[in-house]
Amino acid sequence: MKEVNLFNLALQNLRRKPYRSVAIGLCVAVMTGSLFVATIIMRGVQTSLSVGQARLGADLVVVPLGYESLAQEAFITGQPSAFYMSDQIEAQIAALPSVEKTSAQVFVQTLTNAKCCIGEFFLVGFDPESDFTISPWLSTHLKNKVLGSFDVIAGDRILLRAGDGATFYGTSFRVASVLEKTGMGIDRTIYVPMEGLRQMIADSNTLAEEPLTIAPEQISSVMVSVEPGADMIDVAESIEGSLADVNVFTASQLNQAVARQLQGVMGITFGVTATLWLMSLLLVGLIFSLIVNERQRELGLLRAMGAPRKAVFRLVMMEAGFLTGIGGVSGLVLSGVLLMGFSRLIQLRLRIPYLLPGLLEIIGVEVGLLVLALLTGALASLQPALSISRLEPYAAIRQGE
Amino acid sequence: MNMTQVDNTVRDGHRLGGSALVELWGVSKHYQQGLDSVKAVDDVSLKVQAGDFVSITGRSGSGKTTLLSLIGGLTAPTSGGVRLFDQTLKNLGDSELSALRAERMGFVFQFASLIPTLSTLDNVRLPGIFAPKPVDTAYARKLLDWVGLSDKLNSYPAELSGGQQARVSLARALANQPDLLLADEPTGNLDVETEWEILSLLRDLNQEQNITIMLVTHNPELAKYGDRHFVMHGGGLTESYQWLGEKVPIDG
Repeated sequence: MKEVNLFNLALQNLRRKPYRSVAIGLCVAVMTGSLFVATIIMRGVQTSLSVGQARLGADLVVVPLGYESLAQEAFITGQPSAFYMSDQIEAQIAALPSVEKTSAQVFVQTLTNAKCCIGEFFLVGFDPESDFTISPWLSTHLKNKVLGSFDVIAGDRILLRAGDGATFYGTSFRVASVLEKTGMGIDRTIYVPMEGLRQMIADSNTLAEEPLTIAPEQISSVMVSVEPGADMIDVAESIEGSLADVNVFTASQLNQAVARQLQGVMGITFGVTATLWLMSLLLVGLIFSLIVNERQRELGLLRAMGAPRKAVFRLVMMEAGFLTGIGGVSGLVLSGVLLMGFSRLIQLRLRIPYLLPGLLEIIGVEVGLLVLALLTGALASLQPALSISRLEPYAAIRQGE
Repeated sequence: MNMTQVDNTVRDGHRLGGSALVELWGVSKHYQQGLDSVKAVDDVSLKVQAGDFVSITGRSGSGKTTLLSLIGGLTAPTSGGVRLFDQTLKNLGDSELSALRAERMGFVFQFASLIPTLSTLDNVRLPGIFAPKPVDTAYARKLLDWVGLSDKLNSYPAELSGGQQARVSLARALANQPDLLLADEPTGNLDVETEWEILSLLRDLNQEQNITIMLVTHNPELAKYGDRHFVMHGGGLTESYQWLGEKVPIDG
């Protein structure tokens, strides 16, 4: 036989109006589930951005004047872009104070005759001698093998594996390694050593259907690393002040650009979930006012039986806690299952490489949201619980008749 | 079942000797009804001794229920004072007053108001939540047996008739072995036969258990089975008679 106590009484009370209880639980489940999904996705976006920023490897990126947005788009999405400036600029930047390292890159226009891959991707020439963006990564992954002039590095979303051959503009290359996914344009980029790229450009006149017209002294961007302790913004301003025809953006600006892209979607998501939370709060509050009103006489009778005010208060709060707790757990479990089941699809649609954080972080988020669900119940039922517990038993019995 | 089988140790420990179990002096209860001030109870003084069976009759709206609620501490008087078990109610905090109700008083109301999701047996055990110790299941069974519902232990309120619910309500009021039973129209919505059955149970309680009973009823016929009969009119209370001889047998 079950023990008769406040806990069981509160649980039993939920059975009285099962549809109403289910409706409240469902409302809280949708709220916590949505918040869980939104939080995990936001976390995934942040992680992806951090990884992408770290992988960019440069503090500043210098591009020709007027091409800042296009360059950012290229770095973010891998959308092939082509813009050029004189390679003298690199030397001028390197001579400026607080500039530690520089490395030039050359961007090649959309591939139209590659025999390897489907879709557009970005071909970037880099100088293995001066590069500090992907070379540190290469040194650990290539296990001290020397990168040849016609050895390329492919981004994660290029359908190539290490050892595969690929022909660009009539020139044959070999894939030396594949980069880890970053969620940035790097994933859709093929890095070609500058010597091989210059050769490819020269040979395209005879080998490619559409020859490339990039002069040997032209570069697309200069990656800049500032000295430790130097202010990146100051250095960027110094570069823009010294060189008339360039734009400079920082890695964090690149992040902001990515964030802006996702801001709209996430803003709507959080707006919807915040609205859901507010609606849950109002709905649970309204329903508990109704519940307390309906059971006013009964709660008054409990007082007559000897229930102190705090017992009646606890009973109402417990009922709210059970409903929102059960709803919250259901929402978290269901959204967790859905999120895991559709994680690949979400990653593809949102173009983020990282979605699910570690188990501990997931548990942390779930516990936090469960507490939020319980707080919602507590907040919503506080006024009805206080009002009934403060009412004289006689008034409760008479008004409830 | 004979209620003498019920353990009286605790209750007997509360007996108050010669002093009044219930004492009211100059008690009034006024409340606002729109622009009017209604005197539900007006300057009532009363002393009830332990073991009394008091009946109070009066027309609807005469203040009977309010008076019973004032005695039970369910509402506070506008003026005057109530003393129960040697304690002045206005000096008690909510916890102390609740403890007094949980340990020493039982209430029976016109509408049984059982908890619909609890079985008959659990409804009787319910007051134990608020008492220092839970209601013993065997004792709850005895009470239900005594009110004639030993075959309905696991039934739910919706499966019981009005009379059966009233009996469960009576058993519930006795679950914490009270010294004082306050019954407000306990037979108000029942047929005559059930009405007499309930009254018979109350009489047994009073005679065999020496439980002090204060019964509010609109039916003057039922009232004459109490030791003392009061009439309420317009908030005032008048003692009609005090029965000194042998009590009238309940014959239904």
